[in-house]
Amino acid sequence: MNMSALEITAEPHVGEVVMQATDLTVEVSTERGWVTIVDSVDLTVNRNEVVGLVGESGSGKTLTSLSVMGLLPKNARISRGSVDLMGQRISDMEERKLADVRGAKAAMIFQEPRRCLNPAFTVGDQVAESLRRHRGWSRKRAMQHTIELFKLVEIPQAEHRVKQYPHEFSGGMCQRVMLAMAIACDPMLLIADEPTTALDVTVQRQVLELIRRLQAELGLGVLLITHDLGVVAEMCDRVSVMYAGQVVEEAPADELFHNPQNPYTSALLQSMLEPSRRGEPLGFIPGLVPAPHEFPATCRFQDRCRHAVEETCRQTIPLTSVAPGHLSRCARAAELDLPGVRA
Amino acid sequence: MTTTNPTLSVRGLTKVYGRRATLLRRHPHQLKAVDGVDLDIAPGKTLGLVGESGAGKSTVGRLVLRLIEPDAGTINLLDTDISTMSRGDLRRMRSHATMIFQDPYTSLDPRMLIKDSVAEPLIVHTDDNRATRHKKALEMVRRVGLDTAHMERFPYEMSGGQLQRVAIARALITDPSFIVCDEPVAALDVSTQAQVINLLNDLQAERGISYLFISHDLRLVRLIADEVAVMRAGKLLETGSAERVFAAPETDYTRELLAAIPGRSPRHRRFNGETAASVELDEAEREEAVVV
Repeated sequence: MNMSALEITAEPHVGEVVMQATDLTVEVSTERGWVTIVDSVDLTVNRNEVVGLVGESGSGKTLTSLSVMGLLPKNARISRGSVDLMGQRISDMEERKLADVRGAKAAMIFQEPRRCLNPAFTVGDQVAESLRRHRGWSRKRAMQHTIELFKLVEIPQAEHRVKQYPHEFSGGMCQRVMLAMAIACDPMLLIADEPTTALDVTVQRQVLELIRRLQAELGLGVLLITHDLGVVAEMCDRVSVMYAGQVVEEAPADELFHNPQNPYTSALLQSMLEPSRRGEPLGFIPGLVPAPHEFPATCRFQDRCRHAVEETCRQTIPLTSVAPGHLSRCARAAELDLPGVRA
Repeated sequence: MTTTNPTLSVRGLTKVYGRRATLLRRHPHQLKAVDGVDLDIAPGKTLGLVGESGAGKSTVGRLVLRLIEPDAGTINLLDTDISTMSRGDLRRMRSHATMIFQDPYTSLDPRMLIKDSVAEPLIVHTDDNRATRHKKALEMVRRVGLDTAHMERFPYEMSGGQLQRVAIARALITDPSFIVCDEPVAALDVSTQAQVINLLNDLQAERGISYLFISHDLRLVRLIADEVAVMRAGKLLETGSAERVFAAPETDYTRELLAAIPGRSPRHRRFNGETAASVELDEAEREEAVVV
């Protein structure tokens, strides 16, 4: 392996689809039987773009991302729809083939990097393992490449650090190791599930900057799952907002923040901690996300929505286009003038 | 008690963890978790204590209530020096100074009904009979925006936001003058954290409570604190009015913390793979951000 393989030779192909989920529906087995948690989600990630997946806890964003990786827990299944990675259908692939795809085409990092690392092995071995598994490289060659990867994710003294154990790394450094592992086999898709939630604010900034840099240099498509709208604002090109298992709005980031077309998105933006709101009550969304077995067939947000109108909202609301590239699931989207973030 | 005196006044607060030097162990392994911290909180005001993990914020929160014992320093709470107070006196003091923790799922007894959790401090601190305790608990539960039905529930039957309001009800039932809030909304969804913050603000306006508000989220502190104290590695780096600290931070570390706050709109993006314009925006945004 020489250095040139690390330097990015690929031309940016904006528009090339890396991941496409179509009508993705995920069920989970509960004592009430199979309950639909993720309902007909359409999600696309192109090369060279960061797509944000936003929602409260229980909105289904994590299950969505796990199904994209073929990592659903045993009590969950894709009941409808499909997931394609680089044009290859993975939603009905058997586990053995899936393991080849995972890591090689798509990789994922999680909220608690330390929990994802085995404390009994050196971090270098754990990164090298994926190279040996997916590329069939020798131990030595894999380790040499791992050192280069550590340099790429800006871990100082890479030659020395690969021989250390996870407990010798801080949280931010562990997340860098996870990123090195994620990009080891040149994937096209990186899924980052709350990658900085457990980190301090200054470390969060460094890790986000690193993800941005890797994305640009490697031409990755990134699916960033987060509840922090500030992080979305800084990182994402496009955003999908999920509520109660459904996508309720999808738009370019700037459009979503300044011209939201769904009352839920607007309410979320109003609950952002903006300094200009000092001295006035903060916005919030009353009530709770309904439990999955109680998802109504009608608008799922109507009980908490200040714009809900009896007849209009008491029907199945499709996700419809309100402007080019801008989708919203709201029966009243056209007539409402919803506030976004303050200019 | 005069109102001009601070509710809480702390001088030289120090907590050392680790082994002390002994005859056989000449070289002590010591970590000063809290190192000579001075703090004042005026009645009815909020001091925001910020810093990164490991800075010693939570240790300070526990020390000022003597939930853990300081190694040095004085703590004046409501004009009483509690640093040398006996356990018994301290217990009586605790009805005036309470605490709200980060995770309500672990700070409330999972086997206790909400009504019993809220009323429990009254058993310790008052002579109220069962009926009075229940009545007070119900009033408090309603005050925090919950209703009678919630009284008969167990913690697992409630959401994080509801449960944190239960924790607030429990902290308030003895009508304290001072509350330590240790990351009270860090475990909550954005959509509900504002509810808890609004409630804390309303209760402060209504009852003149002072808060020591511990948080790693500078956006939050900027919104609610009157005074801000920045901690790093056990030491207080700077204190001052929230306006001053956010507008004109005195230390590089504070500046670094402020610069790391995630933006509030894509138009204010600080880094971006495609548009170079964001770099220029960067400076303008920083200036704009500090003039709150």
